[in-house]
Amino acid sequence: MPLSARLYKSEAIVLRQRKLAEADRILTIYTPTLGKMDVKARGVRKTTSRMSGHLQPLTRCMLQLAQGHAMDVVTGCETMESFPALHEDLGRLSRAMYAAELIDRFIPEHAQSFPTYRLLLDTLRRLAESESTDMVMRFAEMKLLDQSGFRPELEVCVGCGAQLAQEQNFFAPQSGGAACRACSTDVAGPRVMSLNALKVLRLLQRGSYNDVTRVKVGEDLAVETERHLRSYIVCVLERDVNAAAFIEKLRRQDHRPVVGV
Amino acid sequence: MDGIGPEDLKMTELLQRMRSDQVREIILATNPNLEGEATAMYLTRLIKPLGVKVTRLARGLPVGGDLEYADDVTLARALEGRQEMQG
Repeated sequence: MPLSARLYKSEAIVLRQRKLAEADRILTIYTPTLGKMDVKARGVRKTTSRMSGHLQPLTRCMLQLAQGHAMDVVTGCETMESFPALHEDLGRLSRAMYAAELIDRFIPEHAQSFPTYRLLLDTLRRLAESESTDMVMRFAEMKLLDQSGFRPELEVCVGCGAQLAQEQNFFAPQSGGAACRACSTDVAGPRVMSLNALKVLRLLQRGSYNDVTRVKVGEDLAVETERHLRSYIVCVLERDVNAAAFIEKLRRQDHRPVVGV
Repeated sequence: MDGIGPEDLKMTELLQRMRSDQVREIILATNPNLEGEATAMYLTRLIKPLGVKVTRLARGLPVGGDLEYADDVTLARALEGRQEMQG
């Protein structure tokens, strides 16, 4: 097959990169139409590479790719959005890396989903602009769980199926959602969940991003919400997310309350 | 990132040395990519409170490169670090 027949173009967000051989890299990219895939970028570790700057993680770029045997190869690229605000603030940068890692871990290779691509793009834009980066992340986590088929049950008790009362309930990640007081002994790994935390989680699940930004969430409540969502994500992925531990470390340095799942 | 945490960077040793020796400046030579940037910012947070000057290697256009193909971040860095011509 001639080279021209093997070439195609695609928009992509670079999630991750790792070294390959002397001067190459393997990039994990997320595209709106082809899903997540690994591609090879040749020579991008040389200082004179014309492409390396356009292929940094968390960059949205237009790629020209050539079909390869094991992996497609990047033959050209151009930056579409580089989110410079993310690169100036470690708090924003660490959360953006967390978002990219979440997508990488949740989405199987070649599983195409335009809404999830859109969610990642919107999340990166919001992280670059918003003051409340933690709520941006909680919204992204909840929507990602929803889109990947792991929507937690927050309306009725996962044990008995009854409507949850307006009181302190429990959150049982291993059982898939909220549990009432009576069932808390029957479900696996229950954690106490305040009524306000349940309301915030429901808002994140049902509301739009605009709805979420209108609500002011105090630090303690934000930490509790994050703890429940994190424990659920760890349960679904069966592992922790590396960038989350890093965010915790930064918090500890700033003497802010930590989540500690 | 990628399983290499801040504790793998021998930071305790460096901070100890900074306290015992007369260190005037710490030059961060991390890669000019995203991980390098995050590492440099993290180390700056740790070192700055000790009152030592922290600098990072200049980033911008490489010798033998091509201006036409430079991305916006590289160009912005190159503009930030511009230097007056000696004429």
